[in-house]
Amino acid sequence: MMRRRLVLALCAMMATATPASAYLQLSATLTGGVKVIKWGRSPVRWFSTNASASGVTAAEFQQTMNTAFGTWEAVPTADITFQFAGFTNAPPGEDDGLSVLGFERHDDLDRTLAATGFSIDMLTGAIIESDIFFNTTFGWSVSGAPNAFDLQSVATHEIGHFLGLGHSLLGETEMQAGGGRRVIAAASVMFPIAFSRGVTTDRELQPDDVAGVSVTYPVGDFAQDTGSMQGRVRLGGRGLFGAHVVAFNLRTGDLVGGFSLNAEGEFLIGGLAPGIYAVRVEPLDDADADSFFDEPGIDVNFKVALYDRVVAVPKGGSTDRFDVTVQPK
Amino acid sequence: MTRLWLFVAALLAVMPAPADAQARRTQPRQPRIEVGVGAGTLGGLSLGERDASLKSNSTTAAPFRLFATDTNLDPAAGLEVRLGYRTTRRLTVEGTLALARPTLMSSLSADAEGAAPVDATTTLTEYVITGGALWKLSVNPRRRWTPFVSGGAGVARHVHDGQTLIESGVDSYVGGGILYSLKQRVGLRFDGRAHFLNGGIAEGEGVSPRGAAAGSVFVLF
Repeated sequence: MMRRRLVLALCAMMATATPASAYLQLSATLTGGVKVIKWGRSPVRWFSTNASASGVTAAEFQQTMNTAFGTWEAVPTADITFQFAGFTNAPPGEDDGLSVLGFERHDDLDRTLAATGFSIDMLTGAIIESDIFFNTTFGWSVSGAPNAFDLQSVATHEIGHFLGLGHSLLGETEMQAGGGRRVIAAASVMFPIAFSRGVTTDRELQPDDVAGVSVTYPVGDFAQDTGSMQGRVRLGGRGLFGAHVVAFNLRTGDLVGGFSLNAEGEFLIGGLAPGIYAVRVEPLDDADADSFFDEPGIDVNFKVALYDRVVAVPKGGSTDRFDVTVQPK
Repeated sequence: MTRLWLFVAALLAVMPAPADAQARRTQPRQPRIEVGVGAGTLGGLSLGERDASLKSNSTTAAPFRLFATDTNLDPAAGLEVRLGYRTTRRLTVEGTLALARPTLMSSLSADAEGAAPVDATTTLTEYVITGGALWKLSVNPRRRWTPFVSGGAGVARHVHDGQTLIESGVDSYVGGGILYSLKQRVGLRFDGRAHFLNGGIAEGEGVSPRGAAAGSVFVLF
């Protein structure tokens, strides 16, 4: 079997020639074309290392991972399960066929709390192995201590990657004086920048996360019970690549995001509850573009726009394609 | 002598004369089927104000508003077709089909990053099919005006442009109005109603009230 290890320090990857569904499903150009990266079997077995960190024992780590896996497993519209296979001395990151989660110290990664890597089948894109390390350069807590990052919240985010989800841009940030960005607010666990120390909000999935995992691992009737919206983002008569498109359900208040994924500016947001939506388009300027796409050419020089039509998403189908025109900054 | 005349008069009163009985049997049948066609206005609905909110990076702060929305179904003119059956002089059971093309508008504003506010719109077709009853408050044949009250329930279907999304709800109504007789079998009808929509375009809003007014021509068969 041909295998290739793809390490996703911040889950950069993606940018394909054809639109994929919402959020970012991780994909790669492999033999035979672009493939979505996802598990082809369930339950997915995972191991926990024996490593502990300051304030978190190995047992607490395992229990916290179990809870975070359970959060994704509990999504009723997604069909994926997990099984704890035991403790191991093997560190995360080894190409050994085992999916291992554990603490590791990476002082060189002074802005990376955790990272997820994969081994995938280069023919099908099926995940063979996925490892996650949590960087002990930072302080961790399982109880929401105010001076440490919440392990369960970050684990929930990384397990999203473990499942094949990329980052979501449903969040707002501000530049910090010392460099880097600080999150003001977010509407997705898969937003690339973690909440501050002591904040446990990301323990719970949000509609964007639920849509992402449900489209990737749909239960039998998910496609019939939900719908999608499709369109193009245009600037001066040309398509925009990498524009962030947000669908807001006017009844439920749910937010689900996606991107225009090619030079024509085409986007497709799937897994939406049937109903009426407002649409907002914004540039990818609340996080580093390379944590979303590994291709250059992301145009961020346009103004945020609210689409002037209410979009009706049908059950079991898609909207007609519509164009959202934005203006240059 | 006086007593005899009284007795005869009483007999005449309680025993219908053969000639009178014959006349009743040949009286024309009262028309019972009523068909009406008209136009009116179906009132608007508030579908609620909602913020597109993000969770704040704090254990205490309020949600962060990305933008605000205020969604309404605008009032719209429509057509109404009605078929009724007069079960008694006062009571008519009837079925009504009303059609309208209202605009659904959501005002999007207060964007956190300064996007220009817009009124996002779409048009939908609304079908309201109801069954109900009309009760005449008076039945004086010498008066052309007859006030009535009415009530009923049925189904409201909202078909969005492109027919990509069809939503159904329960519509019930109470109302009243005036019947005005133009000729023996033709008249005008003026309705004022309060409708209560549960579901459909108002899904999630509970029972949503709105007004309606209609005028129609009816013919009796």
